[in-house]
Amino acid sequence: MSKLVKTSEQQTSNMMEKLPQEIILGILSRLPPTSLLQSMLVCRAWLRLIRDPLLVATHFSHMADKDGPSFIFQSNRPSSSYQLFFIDFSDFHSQGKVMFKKLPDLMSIYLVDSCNGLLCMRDARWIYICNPFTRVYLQLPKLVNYPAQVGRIAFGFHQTTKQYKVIQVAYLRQLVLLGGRIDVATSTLVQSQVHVLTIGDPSWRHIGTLPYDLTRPMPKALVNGRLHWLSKPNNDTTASILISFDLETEQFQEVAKPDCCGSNRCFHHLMVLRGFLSAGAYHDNDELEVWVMKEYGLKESWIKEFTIGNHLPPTLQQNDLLHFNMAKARFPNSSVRVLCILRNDEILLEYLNRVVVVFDPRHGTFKELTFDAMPHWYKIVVHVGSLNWIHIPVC
Amino acid sequence: MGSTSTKIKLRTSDQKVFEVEKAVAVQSQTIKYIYENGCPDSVIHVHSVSGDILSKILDYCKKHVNSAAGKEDISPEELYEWDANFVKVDQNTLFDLILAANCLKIESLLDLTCQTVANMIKGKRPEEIRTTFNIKNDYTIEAEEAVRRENKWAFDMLGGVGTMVIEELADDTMSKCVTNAKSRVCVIAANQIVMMRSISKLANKKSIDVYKQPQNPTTPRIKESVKQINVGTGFIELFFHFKCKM
Repeated sequence: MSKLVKTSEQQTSNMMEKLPQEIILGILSRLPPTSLLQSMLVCRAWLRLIRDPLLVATHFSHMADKDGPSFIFQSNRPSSSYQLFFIDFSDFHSQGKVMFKKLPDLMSIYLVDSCNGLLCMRDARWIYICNPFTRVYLQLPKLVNYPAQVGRIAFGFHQTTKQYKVIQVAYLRQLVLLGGRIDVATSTLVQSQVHVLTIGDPSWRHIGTLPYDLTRPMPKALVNGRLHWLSKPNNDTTASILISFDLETEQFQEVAKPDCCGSNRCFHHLMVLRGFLSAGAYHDNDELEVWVMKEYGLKESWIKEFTIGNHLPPTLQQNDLLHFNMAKARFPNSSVRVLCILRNDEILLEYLNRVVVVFDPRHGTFKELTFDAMPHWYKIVVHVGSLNWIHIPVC
Repeated sequence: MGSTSTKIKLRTSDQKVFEVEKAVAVQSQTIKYIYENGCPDSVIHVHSVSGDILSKILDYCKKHVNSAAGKEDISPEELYEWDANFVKVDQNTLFDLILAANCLKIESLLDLTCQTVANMIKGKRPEEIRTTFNIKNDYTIEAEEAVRRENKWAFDMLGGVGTMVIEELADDTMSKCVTNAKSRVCVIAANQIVMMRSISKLANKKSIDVYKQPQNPTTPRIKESVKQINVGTGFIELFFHFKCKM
């Protein structure tokens, strides 16, 4: 690590002298987050630039807009201390490569959600917001826990109010004792309590109850400043309802599904594809259909964009024979989740929390992706890798 | 509608004059503004751009205008390729293109050129970045250590950044997996090919020696051992563990 740089022949010009500050900022803001961190050591001027909120905001918008999405994987095994990995698909189109990076160990805490490059994580007692790249974290005020509760936590950001909010929907179980033990199967969920915390406020606010059952463990979709979930059918209704929560008005609303979805669980999971609210659905033949709502709020604007045929990734086959003998085997695609669309219209799918697959709709082919030291069971969320923090104004 | 297209005259810093179609020239927001707010017949001075650079830029604009208008039959993939070749120039020219694109306000070109420089920075260590761009290191040893310590994980794990893509496997049952001797595992770590083996050859081994290609071809290859091999029925999982010593 010598202090002096050997000056090479003057074929390479001096970048710092030639390019103005704003251009260097523009260049640095196009680097992937780990390269950005490493670039801090190039010279002090770059360090100052990288620490500038303007660069962080510009960098964030470049990372959010680019065609190659990125994700955070978290291993679900406590033995691997919930190790986090960052996966980046931006070079996938040009070079067929997917970059992955093991992130620093934060604490043994469990990933809940991601928004604007910030992660919402929890352990047994607390909820945190953190940026896994800068390792800055914020412990949120404590929410009183109810006994025997099942909670859904989601984290979102509203463009207009520029506020981050965390919402927790807690369900109390009416415990049924069977022979002296709690019979979880028949314990019914009663009463949901909804609490919201605006990041920066000292305490949570109770905003009421919710008549829907949101306990199905599927991630939310954040579109138009609203969080969306699919409710689980309960005793009153067999259909799964699409519910939205407006982060500004803090109101819940139902979102209309297309007419063909008369029957129950047809909408299986939600995601955001190219900025539109989308859903994966099964109608017949066990094929996964991807529906996209082209105009928000308009029922007629739901269109079926893709159909993905049945596919059993080889890794799953030899590792999960047992799994397939269960009822799920009848619908192998019911454990498939669409993650996102890549630049060249290839679709990224996740099977059973185990395998990531790239599907090419033009040729109908599937390609399986695994990584060195990829955790066996994991949770995966879409995440924008950035040095963002709560106070930085991102648009 | 049948009229000849308007032409705009541009004069560069070294007194060269270019005559271009209006549609091409107004890709530059600066030229567009001057044209629309000034005298349409006069020559527009582009002071800060030299003839060579402007010539290249006009090539770029022409290509993009033609492809967008459908005048040229070129797919998005081919245009992407063309752009990639366009920026294969020496550093000085690249910086000149950036400065010109910035001054002429041609957003897509500025995007392309900045991304090209960013790609030159990606994956390099700080020392390498300094050498490439001739940047002076003005850190004191203490200051450098402090920053390095703060983000230790980002620097330490250079060897841990890796990519692995499995080629398209037969979408079939397990038994085919065993007989498909052509399946290969190709592990690319830190942009270097670490190992390529066919799965069938691995089936009989308990451990494998992995040779890592060093960046400098004259230094001897580094041997890392594979930590563990699990031989599943018909499929093999490999776990690697390698560190890059700084």
